[in-house]
Amino acid sequence: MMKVTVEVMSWLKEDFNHKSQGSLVLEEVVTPGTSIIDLIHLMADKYPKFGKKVFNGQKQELTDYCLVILNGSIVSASAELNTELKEGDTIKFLPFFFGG
Amino acid sequence: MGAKLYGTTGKILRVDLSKERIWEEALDEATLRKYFGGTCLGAKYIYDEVDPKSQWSDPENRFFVGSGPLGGTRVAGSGSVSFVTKGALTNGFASTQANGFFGAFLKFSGFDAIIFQGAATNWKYLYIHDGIAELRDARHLKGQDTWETEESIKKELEYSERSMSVLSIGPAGENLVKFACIVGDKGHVAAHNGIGAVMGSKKLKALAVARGKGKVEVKDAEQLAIVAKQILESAKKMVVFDWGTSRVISAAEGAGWLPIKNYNTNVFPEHSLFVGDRVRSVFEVKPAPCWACPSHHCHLMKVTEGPYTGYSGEEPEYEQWAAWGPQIYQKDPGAAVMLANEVDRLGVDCNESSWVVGWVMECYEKGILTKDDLDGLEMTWGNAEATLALMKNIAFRRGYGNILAEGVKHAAEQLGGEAVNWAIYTGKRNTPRGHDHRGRWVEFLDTIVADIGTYETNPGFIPDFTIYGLPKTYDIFSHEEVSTVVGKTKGSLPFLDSLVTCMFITRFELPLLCQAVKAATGWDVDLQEGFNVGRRALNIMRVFNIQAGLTPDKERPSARYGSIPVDGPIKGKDIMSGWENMLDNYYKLMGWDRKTGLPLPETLSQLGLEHLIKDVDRVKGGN
Repeated sequence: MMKVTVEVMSWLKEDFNHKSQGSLVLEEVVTPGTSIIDLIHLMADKYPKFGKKVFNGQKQELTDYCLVILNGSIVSASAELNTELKEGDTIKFLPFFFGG
Repeated sequence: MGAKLYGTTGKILRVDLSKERIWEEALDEATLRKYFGGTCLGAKYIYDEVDPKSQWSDPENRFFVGSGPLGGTRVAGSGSVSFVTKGALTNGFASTQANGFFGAFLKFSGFDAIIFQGAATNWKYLYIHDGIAELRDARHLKGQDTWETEESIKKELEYSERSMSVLSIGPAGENLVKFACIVGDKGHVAAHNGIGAVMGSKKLKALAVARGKGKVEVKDAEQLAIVAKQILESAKKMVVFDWGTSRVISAAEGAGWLPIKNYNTNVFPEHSLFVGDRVRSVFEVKPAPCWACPSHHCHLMKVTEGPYTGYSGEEPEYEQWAAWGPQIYQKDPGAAVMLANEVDRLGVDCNESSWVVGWVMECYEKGILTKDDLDGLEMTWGNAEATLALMKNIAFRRGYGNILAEGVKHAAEQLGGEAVNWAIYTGKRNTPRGHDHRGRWVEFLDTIVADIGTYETNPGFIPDFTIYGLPKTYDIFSHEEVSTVVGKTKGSLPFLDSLVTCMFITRFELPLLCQAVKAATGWDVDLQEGFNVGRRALNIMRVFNIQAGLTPDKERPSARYGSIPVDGPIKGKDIMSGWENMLDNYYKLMGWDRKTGLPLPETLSQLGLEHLIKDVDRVKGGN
């Protein structure tokens, strides 16, 4: 097993039932070989409100609801979501919002 | 007499300021259905009546102010108004909008739009009440800021706060600052491409329209109510409905598109001081909604901490927080509230202003501009008081402010040397909105190729990409995917701006909006017809702008605008490495000639713009 840090930013925190200001930091224990998309599935199961928005329908397809940042770098291409996580990695979930 | 029209007044008001003559002009149904209103209708009139080779300040420039077929109906956000003219910053098309009440009140008064021509000898304002329009003396309003002007006009005409809507320019517009804006209803700003300067060049200080007793008659009120509710349900899914744009700043910093210190960094931990979750709980706020809008977007705000405690104004929009916080490296949200409101009152676009101020601060830090050069101002990063003083110098064209009043591109080129590389602008002289576009490639491309000085699409507000034949998601850092998204969605925003509705409410709900148009007007508009209205506007503007000299060789960013970020989440992202390929793909999707920039004849024919083909042929022939 290995530990990764999940940081939830801005209004996405509400999907994780966290209402106070500042970011929400979670320590998650995952099995070796877990990829970014696997982690999103895990978080979606754990936090159904998030799961309902981050996936279309039967969890087959990601929506553009959430932007993922792995160790400070944006994951923009869908193929990168298969990247395997390493011990100590930090994954940030941000609202995918453009405009304003 | 033609068939009865619904959703429209069927009239525009024409005002010749030189001759002090006012008359009404009828709009026929065929014209209305082809151009709708707002931006597309304005584009038609500007193209038909303005010489593209003329200067924006020529009295023969037209200044179009218009609502659209949904204006003043029960569709939330339909009080907005669209301005179309030859803009001061690029000397090409300008199309920019303000929310509030003016568009609805104009329709109630019996007009879809107003077109000004000529220039007054002395300052005037236009007063419209129950179908009657008159030009009134505005000499006593000269020098007043935008809020003072609104208050003065309401006082002298004896109207209460919400029984009249006033659009005005401040000192910046009077003094022809190239990025002067128009402010309405105390805080709603039509900002882009120097339209305030166009008003100033016509010596038109303000437009005032009374609420009046008129109504907009729609074809099917029951159906429109159903669709309006569906539009509202869609709006509620966006964070803006409950929070306005106040919450965006932290998301922007986290994703690397918050403009920080003139694009010198992408890290700003103080974002958490500015975000709506905090400022709306710490500062005093009071709702100030627009026409028929139930959202929690617009608020008044009173500062309750820091050196600007007690200052009251409108809650800044995201772009104002970004401009007067991170972009100038200023860390007090109270000071940002003060600057946002004071700059609005002077009547200057906050975005261009912040690129100007950020560039001045960088030049000051590096010793290229000194206190002596800057009329005694110490332009250190984050100095709010010096920023306010500099903005006043710009608005009144005093000292170095007179050079800065021409915009950041001009000022940088005047100064020359290495300082040119630090300024953020495009080859057409326009600038980005309040974002670091190196982290938002869609807006980067859109801004640079735009013909109106700012966005012509906004994919962030598109609920369903599949209606454009696109996949549901895209890679935001793929040159090919980004240029495809821009090319295929272009036209969406001018479509909205031809209906003249608030983007935050109606989003890009194109199918629903077509249904709303049908209920309001009785026209059986399908998605393709609606989308074509937006594309039509863009193609008219493109043919005009190429003739005005805004050719494809100018579609490039300045060195800093196109630079590679050095830190933060977008470190190393390089849009320029695939720039030419992006342009190739974009031009292909628009149906435009890559070399000349002009629309292909078949593109114009598909949009019912065959009458422009002869102009295109003439330009190609070098005449």
